[in-house]
Amino acid sequence: MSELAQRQLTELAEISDGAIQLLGTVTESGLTTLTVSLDTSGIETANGGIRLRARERFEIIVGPSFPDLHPDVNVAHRRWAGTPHVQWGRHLCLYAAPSVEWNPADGMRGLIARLNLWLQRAAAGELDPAGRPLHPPVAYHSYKHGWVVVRPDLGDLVPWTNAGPERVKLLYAWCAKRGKRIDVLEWLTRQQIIDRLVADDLRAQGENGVAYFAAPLVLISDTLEMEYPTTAALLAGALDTYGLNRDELLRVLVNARIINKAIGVTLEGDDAVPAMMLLGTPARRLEPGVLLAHITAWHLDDLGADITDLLQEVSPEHVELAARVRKLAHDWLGFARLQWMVIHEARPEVTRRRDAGSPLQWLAGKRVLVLGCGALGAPIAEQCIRAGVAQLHVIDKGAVTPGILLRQPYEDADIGYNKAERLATRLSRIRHDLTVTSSSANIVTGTLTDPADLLQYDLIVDATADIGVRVGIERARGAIRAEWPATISALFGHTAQRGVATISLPGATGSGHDILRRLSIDTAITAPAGWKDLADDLFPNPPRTERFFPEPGCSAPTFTGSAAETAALASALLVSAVSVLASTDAEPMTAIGCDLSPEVRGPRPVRLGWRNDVILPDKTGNYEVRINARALAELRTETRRGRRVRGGRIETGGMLLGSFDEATQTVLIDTVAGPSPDSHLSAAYFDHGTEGTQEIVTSLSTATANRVGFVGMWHTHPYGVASPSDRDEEGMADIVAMDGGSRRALMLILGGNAPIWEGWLDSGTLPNIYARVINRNPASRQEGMVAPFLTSSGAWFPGGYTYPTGQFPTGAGERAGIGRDQ
Amino acid sequence: MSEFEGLPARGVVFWPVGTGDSTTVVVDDLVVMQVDIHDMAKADDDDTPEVAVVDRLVEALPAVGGKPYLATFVLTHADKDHCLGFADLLQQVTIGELWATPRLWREYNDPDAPELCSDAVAFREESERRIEATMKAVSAGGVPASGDRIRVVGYDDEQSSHAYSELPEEYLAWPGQSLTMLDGNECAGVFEAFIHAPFRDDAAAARNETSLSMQVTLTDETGVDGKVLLFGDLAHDTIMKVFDYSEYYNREQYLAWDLLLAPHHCSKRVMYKRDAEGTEQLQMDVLNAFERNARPGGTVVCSSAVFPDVDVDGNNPPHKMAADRYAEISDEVICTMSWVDEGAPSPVVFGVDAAGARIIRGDLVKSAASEAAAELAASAVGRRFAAVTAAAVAVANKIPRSAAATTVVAGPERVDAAVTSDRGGRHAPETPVGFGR
Repeated sequence: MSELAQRQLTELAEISDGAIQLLGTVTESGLTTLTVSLDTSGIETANGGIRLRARERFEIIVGPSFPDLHPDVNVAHRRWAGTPHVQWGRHLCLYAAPSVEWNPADGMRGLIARLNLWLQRAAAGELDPAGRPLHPPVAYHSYKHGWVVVRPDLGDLVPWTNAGPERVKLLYAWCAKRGKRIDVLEWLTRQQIIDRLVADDLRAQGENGVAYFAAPLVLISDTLEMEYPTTAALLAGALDTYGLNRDELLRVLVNARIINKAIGVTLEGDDAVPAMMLLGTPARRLEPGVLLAHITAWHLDDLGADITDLLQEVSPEHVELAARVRKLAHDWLGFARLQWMVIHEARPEVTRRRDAGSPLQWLAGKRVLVLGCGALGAPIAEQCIRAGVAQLHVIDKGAVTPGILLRQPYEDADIGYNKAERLATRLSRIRHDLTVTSSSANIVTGTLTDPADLLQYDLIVDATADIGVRVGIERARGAIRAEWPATISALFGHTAQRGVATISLPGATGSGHDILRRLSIDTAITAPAGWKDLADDLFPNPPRTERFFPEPGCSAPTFTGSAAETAALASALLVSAVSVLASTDAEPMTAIGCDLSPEVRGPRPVRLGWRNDVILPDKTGNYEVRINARALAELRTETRRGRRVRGGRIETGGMLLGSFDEATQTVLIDTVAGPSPDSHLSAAYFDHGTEGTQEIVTSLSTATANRVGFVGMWHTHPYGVASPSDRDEEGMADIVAMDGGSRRALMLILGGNAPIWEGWLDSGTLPNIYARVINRNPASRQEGMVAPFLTSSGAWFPGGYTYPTGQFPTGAGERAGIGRDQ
Repeated sequence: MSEFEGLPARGVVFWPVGTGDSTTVVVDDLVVMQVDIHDMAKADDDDTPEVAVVDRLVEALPAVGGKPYLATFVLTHADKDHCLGFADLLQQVTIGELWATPRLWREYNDPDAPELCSDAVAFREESERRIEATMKAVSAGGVPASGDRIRVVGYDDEQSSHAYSELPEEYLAWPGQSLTMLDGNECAGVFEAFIHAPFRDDAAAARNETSLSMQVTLTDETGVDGKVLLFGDLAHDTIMKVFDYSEYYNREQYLAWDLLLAPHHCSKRVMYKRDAEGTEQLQMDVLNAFERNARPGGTVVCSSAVFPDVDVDGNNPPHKMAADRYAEISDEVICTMSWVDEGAPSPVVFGVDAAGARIIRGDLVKSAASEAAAELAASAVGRRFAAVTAAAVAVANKIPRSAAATTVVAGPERVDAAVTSDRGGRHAPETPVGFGR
């Protein structure tokens, strides 16, 4: 497509009135060189920028891939060599990120505009604007000479941070070698090396063929030219001017050799560690004013390695021989070509994490336990590793089967092996600094039976999607809520396109099992924004009857979905869940939903949060009673309504709706009702009627797929004691039986002296609450049966959920001032 | 720096004389060399203002024996724009020595040769007179006197048939030779002229290609030197021959230049050749040769009218495309008729002193010149260069002011304007920025 480039340039030149001139075109081995002259008059040089003539000539080299790839721009002269962004002395580095800066549609116009801008900036000395990272010098390296991963920060070890006279500093890089790869593990001073040598603390051989050795690092306080020297002579000359003469340079190399020999490093043969030298110059910058080391690595050629070895071998007693070897070394420095190794920077001080701004950064440094290593747990565990967790333990008792390979990150060779172990092995390869541990324990019968072990984690991810595990966690954490780690439970829908995750913070009333129940109830009647499809998927009502069995007859039902969907959904759920953990305003319990189905419309599912329940012991000691925040608010609303419409001393009450969870021995109160219209309300006694109550219970129960039903009765003792009166005790067995209600029922009495009671009514502080689970009389109460002392009309208020009609009953007490049991 | 205030004592002045050459090399108070002359007062084309050049030059020259004295006059070739006014000069001034090329006689003997202008004829006749005088002096066992001297520079195969064929070697010179003697004054150490052309092979080529070409080196007493390359009206091939020869003989020092007088008044024929289709093909070899031999800060001077905005095919020099190419290989391109101001030119003054070899800028040229004029009257020493400068300034001042040049738009703005216009907008349509690595 060089014709296109040429045409574009010709057209541009035609209308430029001579400002742009195409001087010549040469095509050679597929590359077309367009010689272009630009009017560069009037560009002032400042801040050490390049000097421009009135016109400048450029060689624009267009490849066959133009305009998909940008052409290269060279100059024929070397006047700008040594300037930032001029490489090889002649190549102009116009694009820092061609993939986003080069616009193929703009073609040569964009290139010329870019070049024009580059020239002005280069002349103004603004190619490295203050506050931006310096363009690191380009050492023309090759993988052929090996590659070096630099991990530890140099920090204050560099000689240029303090104003002292020290301009050159010598350190040693303690390195690990695997094949041609070298990892710098730590920086040591000569003394530290010696100390470790003496303490016999340096090993030359590690596991899996890893060899350890020391390589010298020379830090100089001046930057070399932008183009690093290509010969040892040039480098030695440059180092000499910066304060390290040739003898010192040779001594550096020899010392490293001596150290390695002492450690027992293999110096010869195929397994030999390379003879290499690292060089650090202050050419990097992330923050203005703070210069950081730019590190390059020089691989000595074989002759150099031999000569340094000789230098080190030759005894100073042999004066003449030593001199000859030294001369040989100097000669070698004079003609050797430099072999620059490839550097891969991993130092935190010069790199930035690519996951900056991701909620997953919350995971960095955290200790994480992942339960379940399937389609949900395995991707989540991997994301945790990449996000930088400090510890990861994975548990799954299952084995890898052929069928899961299409969507779980395992390999054919893993079939038959424990999932957790195979996952841990693979994940351990991702980071050099973390080994993932695993267990094939049964979570319910093993892991959760000794919860103390689990308290060491910062986060538990329940990715089992297993009710037994959820209930097990719920039970295990019930007694130690405050210490229990943050817990995420996640679930896929039946096609792995929708999923939910619950997040419970330490101290939360419940975790996955509990929160999922709340979620299913809250989304059942009126689904919050974005939750309709999720609720239909996760909590279908009526429940889904068709299920997918991967191996009919011999397998548990599961979801359908591909690796793409499971990986995406698991990751999306993790991000949302961790963002809740990372936020500062999360409720103790949260549920998030992800809808990745291609047909998704409307708003995204809103984050749902729940405050902690009020938790009471049941007086029988068997159950834990939990009144959720909504039910508590409803209790207060009805109590306040009673005071308003019937006077402050008249009792009120109604049904408690929720469920008994026998697995966790919990009574859950989700909502409450007020007095039915046929109830009798007085200052002395509350007698609950039956009118309409069955309808309420049935409707709720149907809507929530039986999750919410009748669990008992509540009433108040305004200004009184929160415990059953004699009459309460007498009537207790008569608590109305409801269809679908359990044989057990909860009796809840709210009371308290004046400050407590008024505090409850006026400010919402908790009243005294009495709770007791009782066994109900299975026989229904006879129709129309009312406590004898309430038979006289005028002694009571009727129930109902609105303002009473007609006159106030005369004997039921005034709005205020009627004592109990009058 | 006080001693460097004012003009240097040694240098070269390029007179603003339209498209034509008039170059004065001031070696010292006494020794002045004139390379070509173009007296605009005698030009008959309408574009050239009628300004007397010879009269001003004469006033600035030293007086010897009561008559203005010019040590050496060099005629690069016998074209009108290089010799106009010579006859007048000869009349008013004692010219110690003439440097001539054999071409004069070749053309004289060639009935088909283009006709010579009267000044060229005067130059040839004066040369012949001097050859005769020299032969006479030599045969008398002496040397010719100042005013009778001549040096014939260059070969001609037909040398034997010409009047100068009998001249002893010291009155001849040829390419590859270095000259330091001017009219009997030994100037070694302060002046050197290295002869590059005419080449023997080009003796029969077009007149322009037989131009005398040389490198003039002026050296200050402190050892600082300045080098000026003069190529006359040579075109590409002959110039390349100059470079190839000297580089082949490792004489790069004779190719170095602080100042290059653009050959043939900024002609495109220096670096462009027409191919078979009639398309101008850029010759990078000569540009590279110029560039690699340039010293830091190298300046190109074009002794020509103001550059045209557009080159029209067939037009005579100056050519804009040549000026543009010079801009790419030098720090500065100066046109004598638009320096410093297109509306009112002033001479281009190249000075050499301890502060370096450089183009003298700013008010120094005019103020020093006017001062010099006064001092010259008082026969002050060391001001010959200033006096010549003053004379050239006087010539410049006589040139009618032309309309002020249009506002100069900086290069980057022009480039941007072209891109914007071609693109149809200031910016290209934004492309979506996304990532995948």
